Amino acid sequence: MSERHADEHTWRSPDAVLEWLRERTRSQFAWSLRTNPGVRFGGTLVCLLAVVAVFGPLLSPYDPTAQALEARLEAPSLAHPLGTDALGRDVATRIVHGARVSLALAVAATAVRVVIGTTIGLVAGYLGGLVDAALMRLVDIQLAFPGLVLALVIAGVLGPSLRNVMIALSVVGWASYARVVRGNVLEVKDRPFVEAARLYGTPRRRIARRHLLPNVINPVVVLATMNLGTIVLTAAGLSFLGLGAQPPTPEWGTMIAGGREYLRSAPWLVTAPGIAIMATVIGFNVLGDGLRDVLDPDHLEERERRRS
Amino acid sequence: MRLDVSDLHVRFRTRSGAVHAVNGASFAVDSGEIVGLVGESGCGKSVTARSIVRLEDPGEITGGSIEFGGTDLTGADDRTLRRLRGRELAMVFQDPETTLNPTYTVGEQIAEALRVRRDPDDQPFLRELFAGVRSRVGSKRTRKRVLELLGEVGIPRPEDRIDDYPHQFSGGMRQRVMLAIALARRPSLLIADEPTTALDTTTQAAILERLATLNDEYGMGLLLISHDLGVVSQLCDRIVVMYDGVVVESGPTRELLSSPAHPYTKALLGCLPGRSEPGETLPTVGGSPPDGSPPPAGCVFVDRCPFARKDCREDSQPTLNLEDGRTVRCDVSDAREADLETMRVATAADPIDGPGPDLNPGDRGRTAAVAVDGGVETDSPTDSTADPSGSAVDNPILELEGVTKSFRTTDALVDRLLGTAERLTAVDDVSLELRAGETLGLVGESGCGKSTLARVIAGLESPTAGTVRLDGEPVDDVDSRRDDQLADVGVVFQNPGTSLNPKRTVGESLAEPLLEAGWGERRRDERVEELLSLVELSPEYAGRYPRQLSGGQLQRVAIARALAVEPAVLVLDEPTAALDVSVQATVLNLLERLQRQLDLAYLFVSHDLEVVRHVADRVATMYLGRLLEVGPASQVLSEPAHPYTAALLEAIPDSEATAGGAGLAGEPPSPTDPPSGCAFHPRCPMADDDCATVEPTWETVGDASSRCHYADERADEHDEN
Ligand code: SF4
Ligand code: SF4
Repeated sequence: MSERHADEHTWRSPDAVLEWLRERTRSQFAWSLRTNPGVRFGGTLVCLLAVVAVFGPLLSPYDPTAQALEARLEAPSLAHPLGTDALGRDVATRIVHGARVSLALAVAATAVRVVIGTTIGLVAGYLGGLVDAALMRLVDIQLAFPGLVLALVIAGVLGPSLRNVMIALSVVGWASYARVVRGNVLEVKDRPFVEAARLYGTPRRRIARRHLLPNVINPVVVLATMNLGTIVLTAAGLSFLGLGAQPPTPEWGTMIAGGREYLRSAPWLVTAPGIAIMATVIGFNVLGDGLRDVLDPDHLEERERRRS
Repeated sequence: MRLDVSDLHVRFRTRSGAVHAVNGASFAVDSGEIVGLVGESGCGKSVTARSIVRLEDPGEITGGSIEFGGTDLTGADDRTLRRLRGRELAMVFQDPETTLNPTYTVGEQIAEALRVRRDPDDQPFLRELFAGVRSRVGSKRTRKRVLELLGEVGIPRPEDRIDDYPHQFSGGMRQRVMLAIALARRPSLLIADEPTTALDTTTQAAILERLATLNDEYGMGLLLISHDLGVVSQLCDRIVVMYDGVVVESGPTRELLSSPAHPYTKALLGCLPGRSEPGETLPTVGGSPPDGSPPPAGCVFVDRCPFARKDCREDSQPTLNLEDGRTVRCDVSDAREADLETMRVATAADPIDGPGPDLNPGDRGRTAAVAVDGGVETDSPTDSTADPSGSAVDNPILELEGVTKSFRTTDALVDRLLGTAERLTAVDDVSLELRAGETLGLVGESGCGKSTLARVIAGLESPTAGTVRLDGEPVDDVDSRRDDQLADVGVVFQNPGTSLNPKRTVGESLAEPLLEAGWGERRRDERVEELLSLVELSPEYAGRYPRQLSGGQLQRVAIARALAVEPAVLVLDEPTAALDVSVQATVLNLLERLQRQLDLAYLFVSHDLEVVRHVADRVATMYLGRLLEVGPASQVLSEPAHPYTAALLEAIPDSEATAGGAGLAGEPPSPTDPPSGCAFHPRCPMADDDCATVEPTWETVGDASSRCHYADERADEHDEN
């Protein structure tokens, strides 16, 4: 009963993975994914953003930070589709680079939240008793503080920088994951298949990984997707306040902060990053909402019931 | 008022295309008549019922008519429907848990129904706002009516219960409340969809009797929907059999049951364990059930019918009228006239799905022999010293000695459920033994502790007192059992839907126990294939996910997993309770065969005495955590010495259409506060003053032993009869 066997079991050959993928795409699940309007619209927006973030910077002829004082505050034109800012930098290029920064930060922070939150929720839910009580009090404490305020404090204490914003956002948001996971674990752990696993002597750690985790992960995916949007917004907010990315880093929040003074003369300085943030948040939220419909049919039933 | 359903078609739109749930069902319920609508899951009976009260959503009625008292309900407007539902048509659903509103007391909910009867068009919204100001049970007159209703459906001491909330009631009591709500409208037709399926045999008997009385007293028509032929035949004047959305046969209960005409009805009746000799292979219905695809042009049953001819497939089958008002939808006279015996032969010869077992007819006698053996070697559990044969081979595999399991009720959740903080003794001083090749049936009402005992044996709970011995060695719970001890016990759970991890394929699930036992990959794969063929599934099932399997197939996989590491004992916790009769028959046959093939010992926990009678060599009856009677199945289930066993037997709804017994009054007392003396005395029809004070000891009666002061006398009575 060593870990050796576990590895044999978990790592599949590439063929098996392909087979699995094929099964997945043929299934009803894939079908409902493809036809859900939320997933379609949100997914398209998010994919577009990702493409822009990855390839945009490569295509843009301008440097996002180099100043060109001779071309300050130019209105949108063919050469500068979104105009230039007070230091003559191309706004479009900065937006595109900003997408990279925002998305990378959101993904990293969400990943940390998911890992911490899921682990804590899993451990608390499965072990129960004192461990559960202790961990859940920790969660309560975390949830008692408004996330943004706590992040503000942490970022403020650590000093303004993009990295510190990331740290701040990672440590505040995991509690909701822990809650969701724990709740689902409590429900799943008494199902007969988990008991069956105990009966043939599966160690606890493996039960948690193999039988509990796959059955509680769907709401986490939904939550994480929606979270990505909020994190982009919060990060921009912190940067706007001067706690996050520092000029000249192309970041949406910083860009809005810099463009504020020229709101009358050069409105594109604020609207462009504003729309970028809005599109990102909407994209992730709509996608998350759609995913929830597909992954969490119970919730759908409930909504149905409430409507009738 | 007469209900006339004719040529009803209902269809559901789903992601994977339209599902044809009802394909032209026609039947009628005369006023004051009790009609049973039977069929297996997925035959469209519930959809039909819901369509009648126009709750068919999300399905849509695509054809046919439903006439009730002259009004066509399919075209009726909301107002008419509301009026009809408020006064004439009532429906009781299967699951009382979700249909009662947890935030109102039951009295309020019944009063609401009374109000709706008075004025069906009144929208209660405004009154809802004043609900807090004035108790909703309202005037004295309403309260009196509510109390009457509660009494009518058999709730003891209604004055004490009227202000209770639904969660304070047990399942059976909640179902009675649902019934009271339905009856508050004094409907002329009550539609009951599986009203007793979730309940115990004894509670079921009580509710069915209540329904019969109501029909008698008020001339209320009743459409009873059930998958259980026993239930239906006990109560109904007429039976309508549905298959794949079509009525295949209908007729008066007695005639239909004694000489069924349609091959499907015959097959269904043949599957009942009560109709076969104990231990005999049960007839089954071959092939797979309908899947909601558009119905075939010809007979719906053609794929599974042993009498099918070529034209059955092409020609639409007419509905023939036989004598005594029976109708049948089968045009082949040989098939109609074939008796149950021929049908039995025909189906037994039919290969069951997957590779068939090579059944040796000579083998059949053996099980019967075991039953007799089991009887001989049964000794009283209190003195389990003498083993007549004494050989090492005959040592029991599993021994329980004074096993007791109690739970602390200070645990927050339980505390909330019971409102107490005492100790709940779920299993109380149980001694039993089990030998290779033997089946011990453990029976009792729900909450009697039989499942807890099964869990203790499996090692999911550790006993509070007493010892569980496996192969002579004492064992505790799974965490402390050795690998070979773990391998010795296999467990099959009640609900096959939840006993497999939905995210793993069948093959992966089957391989898990092998993996834990340290088998290499090659050997594992071989064993998985072997296991699948053992439970008569083809190897390609290894790659499927549980959701792609039917209930019966899932239960086969669960059995295969329990067998993976070659256990000596299989603990079967209600293994067929969640299955249809025809599927139950195949699973029971499978278990029977596996036992013979692998010399397994079964602990078969069930509330269904017919099933236990069929499979068990010995039977133990449990009540409030204690054993009341133990002995050979042939004796205990035919001449019970204990009044409790007798009451359980009486409560079985009889499919032979003889009058079923009244069953047991009341419900088991709370296990936190068991009665003094004989635990059964508050409900025992034979109880006297002694019983309330003196706890009875084990009395030996024939080959069985029984814990009742009057066991001997009852045995004598049996002898006289
Ligand atoms: S004999 Fe033909 S018509 Fe009759 S039930 Fe069988 S298949 Fe249907
Ligand atoms: S001891 Fe008395 S109360 Fe108990 S079962 Fe026997 S007769 Fe009934």
